[in-house]
Amino acid sequence: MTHHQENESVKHMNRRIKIGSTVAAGLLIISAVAGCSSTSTGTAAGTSGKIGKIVYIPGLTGNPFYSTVSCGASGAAKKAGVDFATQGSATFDVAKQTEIVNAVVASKPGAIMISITDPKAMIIPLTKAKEAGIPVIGIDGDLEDESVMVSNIQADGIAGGELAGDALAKLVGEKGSVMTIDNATGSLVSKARTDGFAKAISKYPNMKFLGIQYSANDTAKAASFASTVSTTNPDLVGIFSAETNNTEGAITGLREAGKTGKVKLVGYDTSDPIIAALANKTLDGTVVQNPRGEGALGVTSAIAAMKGEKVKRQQSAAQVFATPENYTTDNVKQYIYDANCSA
Amino acid sequence: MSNIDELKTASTDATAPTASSTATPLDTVGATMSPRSRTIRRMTSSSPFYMSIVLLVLIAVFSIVAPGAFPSIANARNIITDASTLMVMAVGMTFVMVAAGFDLSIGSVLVFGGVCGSMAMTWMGTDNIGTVLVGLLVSMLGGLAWGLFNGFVITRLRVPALIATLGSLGAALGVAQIFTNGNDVRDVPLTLIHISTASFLGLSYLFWVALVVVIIGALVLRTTKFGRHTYIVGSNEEAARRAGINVRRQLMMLYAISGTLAGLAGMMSLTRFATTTIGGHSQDALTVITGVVLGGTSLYGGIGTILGTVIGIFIPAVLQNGFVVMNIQPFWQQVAIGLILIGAVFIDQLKRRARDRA
Amino acid sequence: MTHLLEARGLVKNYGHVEVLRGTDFVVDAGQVVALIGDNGAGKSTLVKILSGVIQPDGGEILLNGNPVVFKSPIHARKFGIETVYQDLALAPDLGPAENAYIGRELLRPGFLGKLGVLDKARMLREAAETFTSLGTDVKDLDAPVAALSGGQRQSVAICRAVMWAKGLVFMDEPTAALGVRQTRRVLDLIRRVADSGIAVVLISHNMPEVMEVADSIQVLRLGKTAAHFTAEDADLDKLVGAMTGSIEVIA
Repeated sequence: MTHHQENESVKHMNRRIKIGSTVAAGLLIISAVAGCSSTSTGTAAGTSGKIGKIVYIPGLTGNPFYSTVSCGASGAAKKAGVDFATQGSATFDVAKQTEIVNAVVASKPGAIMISITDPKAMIIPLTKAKEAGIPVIGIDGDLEDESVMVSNIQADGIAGGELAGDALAKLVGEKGSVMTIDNATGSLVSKARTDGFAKAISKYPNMKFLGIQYSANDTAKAASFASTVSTTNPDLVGIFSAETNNTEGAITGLREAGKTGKVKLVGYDTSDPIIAALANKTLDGTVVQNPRGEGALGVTSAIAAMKGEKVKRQQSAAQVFATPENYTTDNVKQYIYDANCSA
Repeated sequence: MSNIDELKTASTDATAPTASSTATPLDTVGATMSPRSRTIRRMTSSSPFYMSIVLLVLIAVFSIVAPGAFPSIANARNIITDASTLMVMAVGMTFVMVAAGFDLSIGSVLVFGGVCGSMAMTWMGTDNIGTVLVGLLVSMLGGLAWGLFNGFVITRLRVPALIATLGSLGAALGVAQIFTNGNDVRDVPLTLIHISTASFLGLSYLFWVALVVVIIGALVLRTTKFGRHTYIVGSNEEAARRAGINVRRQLMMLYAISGTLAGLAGMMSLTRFATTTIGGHSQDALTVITGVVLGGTSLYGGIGTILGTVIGIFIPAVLQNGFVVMNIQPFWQQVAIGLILIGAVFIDQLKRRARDRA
Repeated sequence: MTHLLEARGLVKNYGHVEVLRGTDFVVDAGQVVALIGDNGAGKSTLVKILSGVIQPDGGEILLNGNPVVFKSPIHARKFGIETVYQDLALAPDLGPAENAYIGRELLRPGFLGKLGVLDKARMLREAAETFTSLGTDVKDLDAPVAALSGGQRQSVAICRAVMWAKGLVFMDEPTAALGVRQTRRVLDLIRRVADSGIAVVLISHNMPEVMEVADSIQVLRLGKTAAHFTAEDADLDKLVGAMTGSIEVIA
């Protein structure tokens, strides 16, 4: 381990209070058991040869995006007759994901699909997987060491952020102040989104970017940011929230402050309440990725890698901007997440 | 207790007790002060008093620095609404901590309660105030179940509270995730959403719920036998037991209260966000404990008031709001709250040492 | 003649160790009886039996001439027998008055009482009366007990016991942790308690103190009553002799 990587993971550990990290062990066991028993897709026994089980490790469980990736992958695996399982932690945490990766590698699966929690800290555990001959497919995020993964399937976060920025600028008439609500520093995926957003806003001379508030994935905190800034800063015309929990929180915050519609809100990713918010126009739009497609593409890439076929190193899935007007159209609908695998 | 010197004196010099004529003042229990000035002194030396000054200073500073933005009714309403859910849990935590206990599980019990409530409402399939009341009841019962579980593990299996509730912090979240397949439950009745947008006297119903919980909690802790027994158990458990107080039953009820209030908070959170926010509550217990300790409740039990807790919860809430208003880099919020917490406990330790030396 | 409390032939074994081997004990109202003996003589076992903490393996206890069995300290309390423990069993964060009512809180009359609301004013008043009647001047019955001196705390614990005792108070080494002047105050208090008609059983190591305050002194040795003195005919040599076994006197 280089010093650099060590520092990175130590820093991450320290961010939580000691008690929190002690809890990790307990939560890990429980969530792993839950994840394992509930989302395993069994297939007829006798998957032969080198085509082993594919395990997907999401950034955290219960997130609609990751759950929909899992649905898409599970469907594709079933079609191909390959065993598939999802194993994840309840919180977005490098240490917990590392433990899960180590456990999964020890179980010798055929291939790993992973949505990494950190582009540096996850290099070591995933290198172990690579050394064990297990191909690793990235979903929605690459490692800084690009030699570890066979392929990375990712929507372009910068492009998505710009999409959101341009849409918000249009909604507010290209003038006024805007802010961003993000989970935490350290995630490359979120950073791409917020960078893309800031880049788009900087194109408009009459717009001002106020900066980023971090919610640590706490919906209530996101609500508090939205209500506070919207009531205290008369220049605020728009908010960009980079993740689903923050969007849900910001919807609540604006509603509680009586600023719904007056302050425009644009999100990233979707969930049932976010779709409901589009329907009742408490949300003005959200960037939608194609997690189902990414999951399915991940499985076909994993199978190809297990067979020794060549897989394209960088693959991407398209994104669209869903609005109250267009979210019911077939074009957008196919992108909308479905965490419960009902389709 | 007395120091070593006194012990030595007792064993060696007690053979020659001094005359009693000069010793009269020693027999006086308490200082020679008028009752009124004593009451005032006690109030002004209490932690809630210090902390309410800290709170007022924070409000004053933010009002001066951001005059057009921070001090407004709308912004006060923001802070109050934000604090409501935590406040409900903090009342339960105060009870538990006054009895020298600890409840780390409340964040997960909140999620569990919300999940149970929303599942019950979905299962009923109706959409009226009755549906919501059933959801509320189920949510609180879900919290009660974990509270009783905590109480059982602590009083019967004799597992320390810190570990017992650390265990149920994991277990309650795990069970909630098993129920929901790890995904947030997101179909809640429209009635609930209407409640979340409605208000009474300009303030959200969530605030009124929190206010009722705070008032009842304060009255029970301050004026009833149950409250008094809570202080005694926290102050000297052995003394409570020898005096015939059923310590196990008392602790059991305290954890049940904490769990039930966390269940209620789960329903409040569900009402607010129309989703169970499973991933967002791992820090709730620490946030609540921070507030309760800031409000003067002792980590060793025996000391604490609901009024102090109310002040203690508002300090981080106001601090966060003020920093966001001033658009200060968000990381400073954590630094400030951490330092205030350490400072508050430090002052408390100084006072305690001074008191015990008397 | 019937006595307030009388124990006859008490036996207690812990495994093969005979701690009490037929111990007798007598105390009458208004008397201070000191119980002395070397470590392991069986003092604390005897007091534990008499206050209901443990049960004897043999012998009987008579209260006002009637045989009784104390199932627990709480049960013994119902017969008017209180104990001041060496650790005092006070809640340090509560005030003297609050401590006086631990486990026996008074409720408000009527509906509020049914809700469990305390009658704080009455408890404060009645505790103040007791404290004053025992000559303990109480100025601040609300201040935490932890802020009081060792002697004041001892006074609070004794006053509490006396407040509830209808016949007898056991005191386990009440002056062990006190300075000279505080010891004096506590001994005065013990005397006043006895003068009020309550019997006091005092366990102590301190011979001069015992001779000063006690009406009678019972010496235990190896689980048996070794000697019984009245205050007048006790002196240090006799007491030590009885404790160590160099003198064999049964009064």
